[in-house]
Amino acid sequence: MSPSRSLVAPPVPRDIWSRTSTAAPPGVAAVPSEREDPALASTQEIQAGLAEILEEVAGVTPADATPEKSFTDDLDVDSLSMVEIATAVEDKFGVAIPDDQLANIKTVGDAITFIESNQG
Amino acid sequence: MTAITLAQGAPGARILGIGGYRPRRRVTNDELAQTMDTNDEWIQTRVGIAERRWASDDETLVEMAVAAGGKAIAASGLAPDEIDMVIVASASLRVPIPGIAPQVGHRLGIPRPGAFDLNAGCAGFCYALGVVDNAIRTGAARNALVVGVERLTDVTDLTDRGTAVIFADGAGAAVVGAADEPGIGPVAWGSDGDQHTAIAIPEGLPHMTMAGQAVYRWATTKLTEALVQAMDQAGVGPDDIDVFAPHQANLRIVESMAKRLRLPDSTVIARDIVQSGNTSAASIPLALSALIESGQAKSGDLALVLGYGAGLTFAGQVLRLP
Repeated sequence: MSPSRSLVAPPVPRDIWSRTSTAAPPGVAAVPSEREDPALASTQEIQAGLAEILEEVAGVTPADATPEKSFTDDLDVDSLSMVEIATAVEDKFGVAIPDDQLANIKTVGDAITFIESNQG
Repeated sequence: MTAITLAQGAPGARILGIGGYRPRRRVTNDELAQTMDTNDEWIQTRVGIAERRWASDDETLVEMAVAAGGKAIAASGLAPDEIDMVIVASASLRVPIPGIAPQVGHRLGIPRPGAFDLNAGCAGFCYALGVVDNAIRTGAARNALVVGVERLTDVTDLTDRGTAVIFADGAGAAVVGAADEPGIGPVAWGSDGDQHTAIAIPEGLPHMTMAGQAVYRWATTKLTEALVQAMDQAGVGPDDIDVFAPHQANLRIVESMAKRLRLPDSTVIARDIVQSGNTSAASIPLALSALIESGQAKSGDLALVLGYGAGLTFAGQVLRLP
């Protein structure tokens, strides 16, 4: 799209734009002063947040979203729902999950580990 | 120095008629399940397709384009000799020389139109609509025929359950003419060429491959901006949209886009993919013609359309339905 055409007061839900504002462009480090020094989410908070996303996207009962569970084999999450979960995780935890890394996230525990080591 | 004189254009352009052609052969999910490891539930859950049309040998790109184009001309009320431009959008041309637009124009009785093929993948119809809108408003054309036509089964591995259940055949067309009041909003188009391998016929292979997850993510996140831009440029908001007819790639993408845009419940959402599969450049005019024929879309309705696909390319507009 032409950069000269600016979007004036886009009539869209906020969640669309929060994504673009939280992620720094590729190769651009986030400016530390812009961050409110947010406390990083704990493992428990990550697991709870992930369970919430799994329930909303794929109808998984939160109690079932335990670390050893495989998304596809145990929780019946298909490949496109995995993409939806990834984008929701990106929004919620401020991490970027490239497609090639998404392929390596097979269990709930894999996702928790990924978020823990990439947040902040 | 002699100055160059410019042509006198029209204040706006609008769609005068839409028509579609669906191949005779209907292929159900159960039929596909007989030859590959899939089933109706698997297909419906993942892509939302119940059946699709596959073209027979005699339903060539030209024949389907002529059939759809003829219906669009009839619906427009124009005589063929009032049309002076033809664009055929297709990503499944097997023979690069010659392009088929001149032949399609000739077969429809359109005398010596400016005619060419356009390949912008599944975004082709909306790209072509953007081109003819600008041609009419600059005086390069008076009335134009735009056709989206595909035989994706020619470039699909029909034993691969990942793509064979999705891609299909068909044609859709629109006649666009000059209008005092614009009926086509400014096109919001662009491309993400870094993802050129996401949907492609890799060198040495006869068939198309698709990185499903990457395309799904791109479509459900990056394209919302294009939809918003199309509305913004046309000066309308989600509440003004009577009909939402994005490219019919996957029902889940259609639903996701509609949800993100927060379209009102009254907006009619095109779900032609359920009956037609993914027909690439033909999907939007096919979906619009189905909504018009069934009475779900009415004359004067505002429609938001967005084509997107191989390239990766995208193009969207707000349209006033004929």
